[in-house]
Amino acid sequence: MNYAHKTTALFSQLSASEKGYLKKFFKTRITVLSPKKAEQFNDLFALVETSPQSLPGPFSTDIQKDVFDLLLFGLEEYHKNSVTQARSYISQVEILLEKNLNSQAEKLLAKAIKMARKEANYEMLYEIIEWQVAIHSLKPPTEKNIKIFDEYFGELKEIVEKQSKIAQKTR
Amino acid sequence: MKPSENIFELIKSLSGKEIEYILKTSDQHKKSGSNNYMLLFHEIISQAVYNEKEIIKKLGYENNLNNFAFTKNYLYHFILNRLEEICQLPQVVLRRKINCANLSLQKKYEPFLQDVLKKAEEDAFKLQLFDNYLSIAQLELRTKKDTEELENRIVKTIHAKRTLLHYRKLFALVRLRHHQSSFIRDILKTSEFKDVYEDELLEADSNYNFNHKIFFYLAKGIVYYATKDYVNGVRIRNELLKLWEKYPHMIQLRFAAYYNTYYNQALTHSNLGEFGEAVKTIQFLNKKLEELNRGTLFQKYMLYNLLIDVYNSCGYFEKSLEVMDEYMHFRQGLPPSENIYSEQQYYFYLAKVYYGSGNLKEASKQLNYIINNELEYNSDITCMAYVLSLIIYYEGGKTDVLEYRLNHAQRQLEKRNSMLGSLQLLTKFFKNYINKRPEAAELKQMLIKLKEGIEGNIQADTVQQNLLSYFDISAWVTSRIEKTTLAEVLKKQSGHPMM
Repeated sequence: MNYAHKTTALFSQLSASEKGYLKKFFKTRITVLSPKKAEQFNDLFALVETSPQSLPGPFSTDIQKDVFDLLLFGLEEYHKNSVTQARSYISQVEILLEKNLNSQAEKLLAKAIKMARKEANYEMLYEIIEWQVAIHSLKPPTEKNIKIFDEYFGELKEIVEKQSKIAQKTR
Repeated sequence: MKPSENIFELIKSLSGKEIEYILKTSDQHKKSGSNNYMLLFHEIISQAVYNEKEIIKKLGYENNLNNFAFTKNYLYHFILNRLEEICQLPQVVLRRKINCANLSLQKKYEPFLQDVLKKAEEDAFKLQLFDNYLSIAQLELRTKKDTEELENRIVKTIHAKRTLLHYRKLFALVRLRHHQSSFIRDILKTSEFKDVYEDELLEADSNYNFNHKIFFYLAKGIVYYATKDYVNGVRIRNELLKLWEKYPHMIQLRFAAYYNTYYNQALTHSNLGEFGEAVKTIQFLNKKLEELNRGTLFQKYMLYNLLIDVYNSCGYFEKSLEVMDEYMHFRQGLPPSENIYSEQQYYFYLAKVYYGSGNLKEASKQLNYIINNELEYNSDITCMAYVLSLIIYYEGGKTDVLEYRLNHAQRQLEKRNSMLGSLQLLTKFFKNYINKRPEAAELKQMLIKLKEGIEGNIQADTVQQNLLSYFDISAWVTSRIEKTTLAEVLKKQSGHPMM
């Protein structure tokens, strides 16, 4: 199955409101592409909606794949839940750190950790604490900071043990 | 209460491309005209200093502050979401894939669910991102019938996580405390270092231990550098270089570690007096930052910080002046006082550049930032700031100020337990100079005696060597004896490495 057909299959499963959202999403996102690429995206998307039987048509595999990915990302944004939102926050933390906005990253981590704890999502919890450690090791080595640092590693250790127990149970 | 400036800082940090993407994709929720949050965006971006009151007034939120707070918050998250969409950092891309896989499973988007999962799994495995891998594996377990192989991989991944934790802690600990000499002195005896199991690092299955090696080598490299064990430092650095060669796809993922490898290489060259090599390494790393489109503002700043230090150390103050604009530009972009050590270094290095290029007034101004604002993280720099300010008064012929400042400086050095042999000799020299106002011949004799005294003192004393590494007093005395500039003495001493 090529990507154009996958896109068609995906699109056919969607509700009217999902389709409506995706159309707007698609329209705004292709404005950043080169005019030629934007036209190809637009044409392919139009065929998905109107005459899917004529696909893949003249579209390259890359174009087909990019359109498919774009739609999937759009849907992902539409259906954000607490797990995917927390995962997004972690990515945004990484972006903020690249911009040296460390204290903002810390605030976002605090939001993400609440969500991860609520969901008991240990993989995400571990990742969040690792980012907290990365930010924390840039701070002055005061007694208080060293204590917090030990607490972080204590929790990381606990998480690994919990993950290990879960894995054993699954087997 | 001062309003939060997070949104202002975020908007000001955006690149041209990022702004373009935000503007072009902001129409999605538009009904007519412009969105409220985009009106706010335009107002904020036009301000040089954040003035929330002015914005509230201009956009008519005076009677609806709650609405303003909501719009501000919405805009903040809108920007972050857009940045996430276009971000190409490997782990951000992977998390997006995991989210798509999550959605595909939840919505039962067959038949491509397996495809999405498989691709995400491959990436997580290749990049040795254990937690991302485990997140994907959880999803896979819900879709596969035959799960034995997957379960084995999960166990292996958790084992790798458990053993990695030790190295992760070791590195974070060393990074947190590497400026504390007492900690560094004893670190090789601590349990964190003793508990390193070499077999973990030599594990045949290299699909699981890249991170172990990186964190261990980086931690050890910092310790060897701090204890001035350059032979072992070079050995460890070569191990790191081999790793980057073997795993080039890890460079983008672990860019900070990649940066540190080369930064430390340049630093070691500089400390070994291999200034030409140090500059070459800095230039290589700078080029890599551009090529890979990576590097935080702080990393870029630190690279210029090192470059200026290298030029200053071998007397090429004119070259320091050439890169001063970039250096100051990156410094100004950093949040104030986020890192006091680098701020203290910054003013001290600037003072050295100005002093070395003959601008005593400006040099004095930079030193006063350190002295008057009690900008102290590293007491050695503070002490040398006092010493250099005395030298400037001496050279500027301001004997009366020198006399007055000398007592104060002495007290400050004593307070920090830094009135060591060579500095005692220097202050004694200044005292004699003030009292005697010697003729040229006598002054030369005093300087020769001072030089002999300093060299005798620092020869076998690493504490004094460390202190004087911030400003080479011996070279300065030589310049006074030979009636030349400090720059000339340093260039000659280092064998003119930039020729």
